[in-house]
Amino acid sequence: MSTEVEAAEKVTGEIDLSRVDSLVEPYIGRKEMVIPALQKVQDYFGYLPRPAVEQVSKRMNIPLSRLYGIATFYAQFKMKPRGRYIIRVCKGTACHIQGSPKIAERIEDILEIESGETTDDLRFTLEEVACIGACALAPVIMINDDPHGRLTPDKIKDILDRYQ
Amino acid sequence: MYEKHLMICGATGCLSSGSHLVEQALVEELEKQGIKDKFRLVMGGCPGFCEVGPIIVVYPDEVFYCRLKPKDMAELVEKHLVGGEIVERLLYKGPDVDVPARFYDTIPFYAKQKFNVLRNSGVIDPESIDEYIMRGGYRAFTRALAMDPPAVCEEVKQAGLRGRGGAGFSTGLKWEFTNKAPGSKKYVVCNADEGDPGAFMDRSILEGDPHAILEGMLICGRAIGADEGYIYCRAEYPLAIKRLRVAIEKAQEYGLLGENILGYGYNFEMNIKEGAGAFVCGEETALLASIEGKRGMPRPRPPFPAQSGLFGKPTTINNVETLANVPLIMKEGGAAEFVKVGTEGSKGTKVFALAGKVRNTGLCEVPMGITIREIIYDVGGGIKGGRDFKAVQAGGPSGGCIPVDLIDLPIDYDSLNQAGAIMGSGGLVVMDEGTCMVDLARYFLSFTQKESCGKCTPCREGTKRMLEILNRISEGFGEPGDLEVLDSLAGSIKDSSLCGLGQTCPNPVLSTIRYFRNEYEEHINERFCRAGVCKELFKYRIDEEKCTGCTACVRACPADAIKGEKKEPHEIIQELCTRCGSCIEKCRQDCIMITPVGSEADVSN
Amino acid sequence: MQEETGEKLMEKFIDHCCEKCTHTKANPCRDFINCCVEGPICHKNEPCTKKRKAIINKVALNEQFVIC
Repeated sequence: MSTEVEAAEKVTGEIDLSRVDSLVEPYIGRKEMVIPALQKVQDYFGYLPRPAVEQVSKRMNIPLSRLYGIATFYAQFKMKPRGRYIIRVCKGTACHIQGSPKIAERIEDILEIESGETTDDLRFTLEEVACIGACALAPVIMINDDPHGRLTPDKIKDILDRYQ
Repeated sequence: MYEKHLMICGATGCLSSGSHLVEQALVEELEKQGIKDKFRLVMGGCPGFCEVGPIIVVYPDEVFYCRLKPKDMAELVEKHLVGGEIVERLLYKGPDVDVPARFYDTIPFYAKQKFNVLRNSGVIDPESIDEYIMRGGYRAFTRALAMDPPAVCEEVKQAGLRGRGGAGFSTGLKWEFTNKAPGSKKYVVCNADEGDPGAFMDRSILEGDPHAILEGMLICGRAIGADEGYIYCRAEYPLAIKRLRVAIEKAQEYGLLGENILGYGYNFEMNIKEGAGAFVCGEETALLASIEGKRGMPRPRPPFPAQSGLFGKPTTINNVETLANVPLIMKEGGAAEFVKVGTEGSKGTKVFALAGKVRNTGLCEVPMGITIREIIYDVGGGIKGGRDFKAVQAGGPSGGCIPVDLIDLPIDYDSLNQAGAIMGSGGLVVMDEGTCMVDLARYFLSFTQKESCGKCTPCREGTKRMLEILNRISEGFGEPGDLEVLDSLAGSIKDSSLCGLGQTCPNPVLSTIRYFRNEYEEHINERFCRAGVCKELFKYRIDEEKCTGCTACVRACPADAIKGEKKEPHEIIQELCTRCGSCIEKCRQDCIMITPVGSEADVSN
Repeated sequence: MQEETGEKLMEKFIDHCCEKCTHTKANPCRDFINCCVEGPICHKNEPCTKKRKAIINKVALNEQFVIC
């Protein structure tokens, strides 16, 4: 769904603000619920487009600066569109000592992006995650909801090729 | 009425090894045979032994099948479920057993474990409140409802329960403070923001036994006089959140949440808040700020949350594992049982996530006071690949490493503190000689540096400066005196930071310097990383005497940096080598060596 | 009439074994939880005991799971 939205956005350059209204509706007047409100908006768009955050600010009557203060504080909130496939490289301790830096490096080499970036064709976004709790299979990456464990750098190419 | 229950581990570890595919194959097979209705399949909690996943446990037969593949399901259905005969080939096998082990009682991984907190995990359907009740659930809460609240605090205090999330403060005492704090509105908060890299025990409890957390919170609420609770859970744990929501719904339906619970005139409302990815929110005051919809930054204490916590009201914050212990203590005769396990100062059990270079990885629950040796060699089955044990990191980025010399150290709050580590939330990452301790310290510090909220200058700037030094050392630009600067920066950060993150984040650096100073010195003075981790400080070299020319390394090298004909000794082209280590993993002759950068091979060029 | 309803099995612990059991969210009973595993507590009769035993067997499959 979010890819359609992004595609539409690319064409029109516009964000469907009425969607934002309905997403934040349950939280209006409840300022302590600002994080869940932003989470809902991000769930829908895949990231937090500026016009959408502005709309949240208007609807919830919270200064834009405060919203950005919150959004930039928490790692979960993304300010840029993300790829169809999110690669999360586990940076947990067990993964680290069993070679996750080498895995990350290999992915960076193949996709020619760095951690936190998205490929130009919006196919992949590369991220790091503190621990996905599959330490027995270290090193592990997740591509969207699929975990891939017991990795070595030479396995990466084949795995990425499966996600088109 | 089902003939058998099949518990399929649905936790992340087993999912990563394909338990969902195994389940799918099992369902298909049962449907094909038209006998699906006879069996109850539960994609349930975690039996802990991630290493041998996917796992299916068959009840009431008590059979533990492991390392399953989808193609095994036809035989399992045909032979066991229909024929009633155990499929021996799918039982646990390993160097530590003579004959295939059939159930928990004969698998060495479980021999020294004691299930308190994990009592229901992998045994019941986490989405069934009936199964939780059948296992004695909510009886402790019923008992607490009939008691005087201060007596509940007292009982938990007497049992010696200490917080399982970090510093190990007395839980009963914490409750007592909140109970005594003036005010009619109070809160219970469950800290389920498990962010330590390498730790996943809380998630396992939340996913495997969510009602135990609700019951723990209800008892706490009764004891402190709170009528509302928040569970602050990491958003990265969607399954845990889903299971909690189901549990809350069921508890409401049964009249265990809401108004006038069980006719005792006690009200309690439960909320879930999803975290948004900030490690510092594991710190209690930062967590409260986050629930209030603010940036999750800590504030000075006092006032402590027991006086002024969530929305300014008295609040008790307990971690998941602590709360899961509460129903055990509060059930009839529970406290007396509880104190029988553990040591003088540390009662009960502790759940550890055992990971790293150990043979049996997974979750284990062991009595406090067990030694590191027992955990690594008895529970963990020793080091992978027969290599030598070097150290274990306890307590994640806030903790420290414990070297091989201290292998007989008992694991309890006080012994760990003395050794420069902490109990923390319970991550135990085992390391062998292939782990570089400088890199490990750098790894933890880069994590805490990134996660520092930026409020206190010593933590924000100090961690950055420390990290710069460590980066320099691991890139070969270490200087004499670096270790002294690290030590003094660490001291300032510990002394002058506001919260637990800052106060503990230098620990990994301090403890690695304390126990592995020689390794730092080798990095600084000889520009050599003997573990083969810091890429600028070593190179691979093929031992021509040993190399049989099998070409395994040539094929594995993603950079085409190895040349050599079949049956001829191979050679590494240093200019092309990225030191990814693919070759060393594939080499069967053990002929790829880690050598200092300036060694003879270079000279001969 | 009563005998007929008496035959209805309990599906969940929240179901009533007979009309003597009155526990609901709105009208709670202090013995509810204990009654689930040891019940019926407030009255004694064979059909209710049977029904409660049946649901425990259904949920637990194996009596050694039941922890009282």
